[in-house]
Amino acid sequence: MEKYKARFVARGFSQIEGIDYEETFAPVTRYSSIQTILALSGQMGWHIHQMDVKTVFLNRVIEEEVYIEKPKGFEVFSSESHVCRLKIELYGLKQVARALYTQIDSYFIGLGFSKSEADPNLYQIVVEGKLLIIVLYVDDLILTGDELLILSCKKDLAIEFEMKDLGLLHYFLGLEIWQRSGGLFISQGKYAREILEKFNMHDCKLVHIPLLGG
Amino acid sequence: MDDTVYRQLVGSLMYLVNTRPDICYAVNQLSQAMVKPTKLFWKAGKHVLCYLRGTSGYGSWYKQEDADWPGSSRGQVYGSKDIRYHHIRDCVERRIMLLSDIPTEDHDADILMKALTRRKFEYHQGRIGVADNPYLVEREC
Repeated sequence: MEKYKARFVARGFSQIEGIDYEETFAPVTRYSSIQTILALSGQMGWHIHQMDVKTVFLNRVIEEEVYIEKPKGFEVFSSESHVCRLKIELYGLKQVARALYTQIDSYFIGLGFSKSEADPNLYQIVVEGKLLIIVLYVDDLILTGDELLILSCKKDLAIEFEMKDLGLLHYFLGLEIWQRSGGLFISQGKYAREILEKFNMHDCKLVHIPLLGG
Repeated sequence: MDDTVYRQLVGSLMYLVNTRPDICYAVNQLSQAMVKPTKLFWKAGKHVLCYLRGTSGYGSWYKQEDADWPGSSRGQVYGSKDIRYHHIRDCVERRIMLLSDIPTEDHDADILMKALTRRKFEYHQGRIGVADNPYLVEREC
C-alpha cells in the first residue's frame, strides 16, 4: 500500500447516450503487439520501461453539458435543489477512456510518431537513426528501443500528462518479466500455481510431458 | 464431474499458452471435448496439471541475438506446404528469404502439432526457448 486516495466520481451509469455523452469507444492494444514487443526487446537487448497516468482525466474540458448532484457535505442551505455543471471531466464518466486515448494519441502524433496500421495503440519514431517504440494500454505506457530516447520521452511525458515513471517493466497483464543483460524471460508462474490450487492439483504426482500416454 | 469445470480448466490453460507453447498441443487436444468431456479427457486434463506442477515456474526465454542478426544462425521453420504461398515464393525470388532443408528431427513446430516422446519433447522445448526461470536464483540472493 503506497497511499490512500479519495476521489470525487461521477455516476456514469446514469448517463444517457446522445445527451450526456456521444462516443465512448477507445481502442485497446492487441495482445500480440505486447508479445512481439517483448520478444523483439529480448532479442535486441533493449530495456523495456513502464509509465502510468496519475490523473490525466481531471484536466480535460468536457465537451457535453453534464450536471451532477452536489456531493454530501457540500449542500448549501436555501439552494438544496441546485446542481453542479461539470467544467472538466471526472472519473466515472463514460467518455473518459476515449478522452484519454484521444489526448495521448494526438500528443504522440504531434511529436511526429507514426501509428501502426494494425494496432492503433502502437507508435514508433526514428530520431537520427535511433528507434523508439511505445505501446499504449489504457493508462499504461510501455517504452522500448534506444535507451536515451526512452529517457527523454519519459521526461516529456511526466510533464505533459502527470505520468508516473515505474522504471523497468516487471509485471504486466499477469506476465512476470525479468529483464537481464543478454535476454528477457517472461512467465505466468503465479497464474500456473493458481490454476493448480483452483483445480486442487497442487500436490499431484509429477510427470515429464503434458500429453497422456505419450 | 461437472462439464462446466472442465471448460473452465481448458479455458484457464489456454491463457497459459501465452508463455507456455509447450502445452499448446495438449490444450488443443483437450479443447476437442469442450461440449461433452469424457472420463478420458478429464484424465488427460489432470495429466496436464501434473505436468504443470513440476514446471510451474517455466516461461519463455528470449535470448539476445548475436551481433550478426539477422544472420543465418536460426531462422523460422515453416511446414513444407506453406511454401506454396505466393508471398513466400515472391520473397525467395527477390532473395529476401532463403529456403533451406531442415532435417525432420529439427522441425520445432512439431511440439505445437504432434504428440512427442519425452526425448523429442524436451529437445524442441529447449529449442523454442521454454525453460525454467534462468534469473530466479539471482533475484532471491
